[in-house]
Amino acid sequence: MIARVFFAVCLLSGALLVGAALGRAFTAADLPPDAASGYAIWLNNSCAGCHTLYGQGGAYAPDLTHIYTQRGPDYLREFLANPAAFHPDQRAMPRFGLSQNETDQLLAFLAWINTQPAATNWPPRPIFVSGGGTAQSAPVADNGDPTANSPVERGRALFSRAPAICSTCHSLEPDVIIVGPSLYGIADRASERVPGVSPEEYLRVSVLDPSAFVVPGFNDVMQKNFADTLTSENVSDLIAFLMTLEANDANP
Amino acid sequence: MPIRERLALHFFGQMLVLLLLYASTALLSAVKFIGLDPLETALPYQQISAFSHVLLQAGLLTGFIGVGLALAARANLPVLRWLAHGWTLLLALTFAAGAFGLLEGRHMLELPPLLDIIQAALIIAVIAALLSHPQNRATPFFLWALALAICALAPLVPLLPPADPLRDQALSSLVVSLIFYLAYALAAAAICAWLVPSSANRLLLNAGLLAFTGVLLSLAALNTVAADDFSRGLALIGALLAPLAYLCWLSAGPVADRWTQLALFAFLLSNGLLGALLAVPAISQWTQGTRLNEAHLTLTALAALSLLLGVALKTRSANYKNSLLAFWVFLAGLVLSSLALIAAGLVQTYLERILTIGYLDTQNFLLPLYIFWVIGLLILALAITLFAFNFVRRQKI
Ligand code: HEC
Ligand code: HEC
Repeated sequence: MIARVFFAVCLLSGALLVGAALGRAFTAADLPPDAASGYAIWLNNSCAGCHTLYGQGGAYAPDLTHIYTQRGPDYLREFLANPAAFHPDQRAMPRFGLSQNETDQLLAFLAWINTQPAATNWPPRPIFVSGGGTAQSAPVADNGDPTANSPVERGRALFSRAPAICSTCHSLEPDVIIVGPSLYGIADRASERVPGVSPEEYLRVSVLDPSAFVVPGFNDVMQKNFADTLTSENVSDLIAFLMTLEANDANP
Repeated sequence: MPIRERLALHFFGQMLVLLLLYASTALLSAVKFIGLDPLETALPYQQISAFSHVLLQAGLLTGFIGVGLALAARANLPVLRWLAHGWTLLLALTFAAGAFGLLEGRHMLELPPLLDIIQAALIIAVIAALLSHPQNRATPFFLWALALAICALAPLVPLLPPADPLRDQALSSLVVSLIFYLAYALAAAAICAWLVPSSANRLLLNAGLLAFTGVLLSLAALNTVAADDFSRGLALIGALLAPLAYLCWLSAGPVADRWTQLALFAFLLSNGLLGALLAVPAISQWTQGTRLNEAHLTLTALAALSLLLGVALKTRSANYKNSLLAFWVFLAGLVLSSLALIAAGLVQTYLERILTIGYLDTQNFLLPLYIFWVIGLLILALAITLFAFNFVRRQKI
């Protein structure tokens, strides 16, 4: 008899506590209409079968809680239109063939996710798609040391690490196009791109305001949020690094 | 052999078929982690992993129904036969939905809503048909029925119309957690008490403790989505109680056979230790969504599975010696695949979450561990094949 009472009490108190926790945890969300449509697209395409939000879901692909600010809408639009062009030699994301409108709604959804109160608490440190890593981390490739004193070395490291991760779109090998042009020899080209603009200035504008000059043959899809995500020191370091990338005629 | 037991064997047979299918689909989805996959885009991950989750869940449920029939004192056979046909039809539909890519891709709760509802209705009908006999109303039977009802009804909760993404996500995770932390543990406690009647007198105390901690641990599903100190505190209490609850259960009395022994031990490791750790808010904020969660869920499922295989053997009155090889191979596969996944989860947490190295780069580092994981799954598939072979071969009716 005592055992029965004990069991009943355990079960009931458990149920009550779940109810109380659920009741406290949620207040009605104000999901804007665009984000609501985006949520439907998210569900219909089973994005959560591979991706996590707030660490919950398929976990075969990166967490997307903060992807909206990490990448910015331009990058994401380009990525969703053609995922295969990014991250060569990694596991692949299928192409979903979303329309322009659907992509906008999906982005509204991801933007909404990114601004929820829970997103301010989680994760404790940023989760990046690729690149990333802090000073103590093992180098992803031999990309230099971000703590080095020389701006060039810091820029070299930043090139393939978060928050810049230029290497997602730019190769340093000659003629290799990922999404953007190869930056091999950019130090030479930078002085010729826009008459009257110094190479350093050209590079600075290329990073902070990519639409100002679009390289012929490419679309204007470079991320446009670097002015927010990079410090001015980061940008100077990157430019110092890019200025070392001269075409080596002996070894093209 | 009584017809009731034959019906139970029918369910165990279906369970083995589902497990074989699960093993192959689980392998296919694991292979995607090592990037050696010709079907990479033809059969994308979300489809094949959903398929394997659904097959595993269906296999376990089928096994639990079989256990109910095997251990019941009486059964209303004509009704149960009809229900068995209904269940076969449901399994066929489930398989078809998976094969045609119609699963929902809601992590671990992938059945289309209609099948979820049919499944719940059939399970409730089976429970009702068995409980309608007064002889069946022993305590273990009630606990078994309660656990199975949770498994059947809980997946209906996330079928509420989608509204608030955070609420929906938390509810789905909560339901999955309730099934793994609560329902499987309750069912296992009931089955153990059935197998070893001398341990039955402590059953309700153990089950009460398991249920209470299971519920609290499940609240860890809210840790990241609904940042709330109340639920976090409860999850923490659950995490502190869980090892105690599982140790109490383990010490409740002698265990029947080695499959049951393995099941108890695996439950202690999965829900009692690993699952408890992953529910601690200070830990889960780092580990949520790493391979550690996957390791916990698979280990719990394998624990339940081991228990079911033990009961199936007993019902078959098969020679235990013949299944000895299957047992050791199963154990080897379980240990290797779990260790590899846990190691991968730890390394992933350190590299990706603490050092903030990118997800994709981290995954490249994990390759060797994933290879061990796949080998572990291969060994498990072999064990299930051996078991099924032995199970069928000895059937002379
Ligand atoms: C088959 C599994 C799968 C599914 C389903 C899937 N993704 Fe992905 N996704 C990936 C993988 C793998 C990556 C890692 C980048 C790569 O290798 O393409 C990724 C990367 C991303 C990124 C980050 C890209 C970057 O470079 O920062 C975004 C954003 C994204 N996915 C959005 C979505 C959306 C939205 C959906 C649903 C419409 C979706 N994904 C469905 C596998 C998937
Ligand atoms: C989303 C992919 C993407 C990312 C990320 C990206 N870029 Fe670009 N980048 C492009 C594309 C596409 C172009 C060509 C179109 C244009 O000029 O805007 C380009 C052009 C450039 C150019 C001009 C090249 C030339 O030949 O004149 C420079 C310099 C450059 N990027 C530097 C960077 C740096 C530095 C970073 C990291 C901070 C970066 N990019 C990150 C896509 C990207």
